[in-house]
Amino acid sequence: MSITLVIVSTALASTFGASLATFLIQKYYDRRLEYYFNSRLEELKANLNVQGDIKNLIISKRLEIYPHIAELIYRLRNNLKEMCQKDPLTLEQAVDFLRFAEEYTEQIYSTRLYLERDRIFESLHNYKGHILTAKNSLLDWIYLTRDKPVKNTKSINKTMSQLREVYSHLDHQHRRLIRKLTELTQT
Amino acid sequence: MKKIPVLFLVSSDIDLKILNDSPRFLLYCFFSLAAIRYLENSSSRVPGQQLQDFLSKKIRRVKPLYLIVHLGLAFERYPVEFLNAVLDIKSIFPEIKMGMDKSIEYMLQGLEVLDTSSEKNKLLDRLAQNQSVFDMDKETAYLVGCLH
Repeated sequence: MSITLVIVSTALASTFGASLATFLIQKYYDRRLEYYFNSRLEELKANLNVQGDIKNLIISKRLEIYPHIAELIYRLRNNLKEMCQKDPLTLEQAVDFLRFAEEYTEQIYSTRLYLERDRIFESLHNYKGHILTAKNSLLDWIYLTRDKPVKNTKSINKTMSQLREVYSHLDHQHRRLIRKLTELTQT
Repeated sequence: MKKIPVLFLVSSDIDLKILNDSPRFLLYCFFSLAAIRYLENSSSRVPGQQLQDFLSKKIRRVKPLYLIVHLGLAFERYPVEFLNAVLDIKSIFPEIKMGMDKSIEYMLQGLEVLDTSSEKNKLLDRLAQNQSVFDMDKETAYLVGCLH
């Protein structure tokens, strides 16, 4: 065997070896990349599913909670309006208002995570502040009318004027709050 | 007739005129401190220190027999700072009758949202040692009703 043949065959063998090694390495990295991208894709899909689930949960919670809060806002305002317009107001009306007030407070606190997320908690909390004032005035009214109402006429009138003042705040705020809650339910 | 001072620790300012004029509370005189302003811009390193300082000052001035604590926005946004300040006040002024407007379960629920477990655990330990802050006599419970 001539020396040239040996050199040529050695060169060919090493070229083949190098090509084979390159091919195998390339294949290996192709596989690694494919695996990496597939697993990332699966992760993203899972994330999208979770996000979709959260979105659906929020939408269903809004549908479940917000119309009821809107209804309570409306009822509290209407109830107070009737009490301010009718003279004398009745104990039943006062008790109804106190019941709605309690329900409203409980609702906004128990669902505050959703309400905070939708940036409406603070306005609803502000509405609650006026309701608390009305509640304290109504309890005063009950206290004053329980015995010797004639003797307490002046104080009863003062309580009624406090209630009218609270009504003006509720009347001013209730439409905006109901509109906002309705919009959130529809989105 | 000397009226009994009652201090409300609330989140933001409230109108006390109705309560101070109320025929139901002729024996009492109401004061309040809005907590959120001392928590929002607090530069203090100790959680709730600024609130505690202002609350202490107010207590020294007003000398309330009752401290009624509202667990509202201030507690929800800054639970650690708020509760630390309240518990510190209880230890500085043990003679004050304290009332909370929500249950201990509600408070624990509020702490669930905390990320840092060390802070939470420290606070839970303090709460466990000071459980008496949740015990209220009949009169304190009646005053707590003003905030419901």
